Amino acid sequence: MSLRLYRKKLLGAMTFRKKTLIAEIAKHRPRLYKLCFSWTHNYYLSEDLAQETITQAINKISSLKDPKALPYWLSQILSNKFRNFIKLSRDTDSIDDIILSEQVTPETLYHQDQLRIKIRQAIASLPVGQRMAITLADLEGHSYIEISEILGTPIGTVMSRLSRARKRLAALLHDEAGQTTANLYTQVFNGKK
Amino acid sequence: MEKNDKYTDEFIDRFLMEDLDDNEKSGFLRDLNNDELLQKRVSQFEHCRQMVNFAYDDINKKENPPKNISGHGQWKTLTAASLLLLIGVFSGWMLKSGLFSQHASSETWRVVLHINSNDTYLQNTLLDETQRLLETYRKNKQKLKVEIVAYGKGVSLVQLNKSPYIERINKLTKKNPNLAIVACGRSLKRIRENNTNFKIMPNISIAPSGIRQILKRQKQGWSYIRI
Repeated sequence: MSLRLYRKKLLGAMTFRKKTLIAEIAKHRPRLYKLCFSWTHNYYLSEDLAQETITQAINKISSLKDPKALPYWLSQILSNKFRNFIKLSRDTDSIDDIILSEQVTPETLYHQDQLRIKIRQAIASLPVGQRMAITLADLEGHSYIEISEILGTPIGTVMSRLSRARKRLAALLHDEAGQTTANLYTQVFNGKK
Repeated sequence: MEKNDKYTDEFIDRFLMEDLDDNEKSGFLRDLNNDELLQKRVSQFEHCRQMVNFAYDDINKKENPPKNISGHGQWKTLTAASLLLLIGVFSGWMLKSGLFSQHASSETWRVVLHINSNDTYLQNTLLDETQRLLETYRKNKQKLKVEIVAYGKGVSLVQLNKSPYIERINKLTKKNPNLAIVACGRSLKRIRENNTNFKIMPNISIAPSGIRQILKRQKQGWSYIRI
């Protein structure tokens, strides 16, 4: 095989790999949107940030060495985008202190499922750092090490955020009837996952 | 993490995510059978996970944002009333604080409003109150800058050949050079994916992102009024 032909085949293989990866990236859009929504509770902002993440990932695709790390790499880009967005609005606060207020919009308020609203409100009241940690763990199933790398924080900080988030959610969802919302959930859905 | 517990929170998470090897799992299950406190901890973790998943499991399944459901016309009235109240309170605060003095002040007041709905009632209310705000400040010889940011379905406010407010907006912007209307570039791009004929008025600015535009203005010290 001549060198010229070899180079042509190699370029073809690389282009094919790149095209395949780009197609894979696009498939993650719904997941990224959902994760972002769990942080922002804002449809339009979530769309914006998810789109920016996809665009950046496509532009920097050559920096992804292991295709298997794609989901985690995308979560990392999204997390950076979101934290930069927070910095734009609040220069000096640590994300452990920032509580994004729940956006009470007509879209939220006419949502029929009161249980879902209650849980979202509880999650929305968590400081941003805790909210990101708990959704990365429970929604995305990331390990503590992965969460630490996605958020760019030490693993000890991840552990403490998760612990505080869980305790706070348990306290917030304990309703006046004296039973936890979790129990209500179990009763209503018969333990359906 | 609770002290004196054999198993950390991380270990319990790994168990629930089925991330333990066989030895770790069998040892943990053996202890779990005999330890009520450990059972309670695992149950709480699992409930938390289920609740977090449940809170967002409708995302991507339904239209986002959802359309207005009929029978919720009360929301139009409420949101329009809220806007009236907010602008009224804002103007009233200005009056009370003596900022509407007999002599023109050199300070320029800046207000950013946003619209993300294609509801004509809300859009009409927004324009009514913007006009009232501009007239009040002009009468009191106060300097005012107003910016309306339209994003999402709100860009229909400035849609050519469709919006019922084209002529009104043209008159308003001609009479008030201190009024600017900005459309969200992202929203326009999304709309044009399905409707290539969607055109907006020629004298409308376009910002890359409506939400970032609002944030930018807030950071610059503009007052923000939301519908």
